[in-house]
Amino acid sequence: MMNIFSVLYCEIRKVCRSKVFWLVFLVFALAPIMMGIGTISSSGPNESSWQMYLSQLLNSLSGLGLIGYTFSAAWVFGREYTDNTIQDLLVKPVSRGNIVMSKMLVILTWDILLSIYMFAIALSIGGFMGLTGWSSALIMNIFIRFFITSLLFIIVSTPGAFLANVSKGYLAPIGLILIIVIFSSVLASMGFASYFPWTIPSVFLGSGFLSFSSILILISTGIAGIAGTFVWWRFAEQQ
Amino acid sequence: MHVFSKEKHSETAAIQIKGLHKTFGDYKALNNLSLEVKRGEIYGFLGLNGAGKTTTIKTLLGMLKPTAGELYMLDEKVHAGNYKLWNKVGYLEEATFYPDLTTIENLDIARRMQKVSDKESINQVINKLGLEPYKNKKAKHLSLGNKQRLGLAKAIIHNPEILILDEPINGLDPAGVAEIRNMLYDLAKNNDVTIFISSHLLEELSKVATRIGIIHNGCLIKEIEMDNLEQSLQKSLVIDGHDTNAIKTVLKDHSYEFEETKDGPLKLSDNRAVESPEQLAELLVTSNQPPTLLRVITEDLEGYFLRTIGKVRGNQ
Repeated sequence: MMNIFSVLYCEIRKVCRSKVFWLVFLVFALAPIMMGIGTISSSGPNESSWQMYLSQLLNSLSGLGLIGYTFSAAWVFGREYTDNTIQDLLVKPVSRGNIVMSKMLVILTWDILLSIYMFAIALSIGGFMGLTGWSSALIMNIFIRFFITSLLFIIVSTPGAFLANVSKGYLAPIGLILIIVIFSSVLASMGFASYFPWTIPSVFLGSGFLSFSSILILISTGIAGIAGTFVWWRFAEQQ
Repeated sequence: MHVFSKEKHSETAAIQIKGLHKTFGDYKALNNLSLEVKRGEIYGFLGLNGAGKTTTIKTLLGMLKPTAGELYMLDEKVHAGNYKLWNKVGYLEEATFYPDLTTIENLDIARRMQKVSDKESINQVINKLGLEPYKNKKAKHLSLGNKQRLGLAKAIIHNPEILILDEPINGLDPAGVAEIRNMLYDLAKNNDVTIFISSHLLEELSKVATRIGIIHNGCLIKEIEMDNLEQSLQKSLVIDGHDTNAIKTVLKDHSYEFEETKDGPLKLSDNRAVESPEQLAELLVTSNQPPTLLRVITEDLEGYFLRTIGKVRGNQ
């Protein structure tokens, strides 16, 4: 057990001491600020309520989160290849499963922090712009739905980790997720949002409900990403 | 009992590779490679780029699966799942590190990943490799030589029984090469560490290795003890004179075999000429063809290596 904590400590340190980690937070602060101000400015004088603001803004932010979550998953694994530290990592008396597990936990923590951070920035902008209709119950309600949506997006970002390992870098998964985001809006407009893994979380954000088939697709995608990564580390050749 | 177990250890090979084959699609990277490295030995693994050195090392480290054959280190079979083995093995390919972490932080990660509980091991290895002035410097800002030292520090922080180094002296200046060489020698001699070191430079390997294996096209084509290397180097006698054609006639008349060099002098490689150059000198003088040049030359290491793998200098 101490073994995994030690590996986890190393992974946390590697991420926190990198510039990329802090740069992500900087970039994901700018987006809610600009989108938040834009949302408020474009709404009419009677529409400037917390309810209207958050429901409009969080829809865009949760989608943006998908790019962030995929980036973190891809970077945590992919940087080992681009820095050429992967071979170092494989010749250690630590099971490869523990290394993957530690990396997954670090990614999960990073993503959760990023999601809460984006929500906090959105709240700050709303408060700064003097929105009306504040209610703690309302905010909590909206936050919980946003948070669950973020978790669902985190689940479907795991194939990004797998792809980073297969492609030995973080560029391929980032490229793919950008294509997926574009593809998602097309699929959603065609009415397939409940069946495409990367649009299902948005369905939940809008309705607060998911069908059994959507849940199954979501879980299968997450399991495929996680299991694929574990299997890759255990069995793939590292040329 | 301790002495007994040490004696027993020294009998078994630290590294055993048996009938190793590795193919990538149709390409045969390794072809029935077998070798053994004894404990405390510094084994130089020599080959041209693409000869199969790195493939052998990666297979030895469980990163590649052998197509056929078996590998053992310290009597344990090597495979990706046998991760506990890496407790006793240190590995350095090129200087790899986390660029935003300092020297100490990089070493602390290596210490934790190697399950070394004693934090003092970091200071010990820093002192050993002269990294003290750079310990708080970010790894990406270190000089090439210091990056390489950091890589080596990471590889030996857990006092491994086997140290595997893939082209470790690439990019080092002569002082850095000498330093690494002395350290490897010290590890093998005083700490009984078995060292497996690959390079494409025989000159460098010859200064540190106790035995050398030459790999070419995926096959181990020769192994040689360094003590015997001098005897294996080809010697030849080079002669020149005012009238080369007349000298050639004298040589032919007395059954000396020779070859003409590009520069003009004649080169004789048969033992009779090399071992008794004074007899040939006397012969040429009595034949009224006194030599203007008569010198025994010993093949250099590069020449030996190229001759062994069947290549001639200058890509001929």
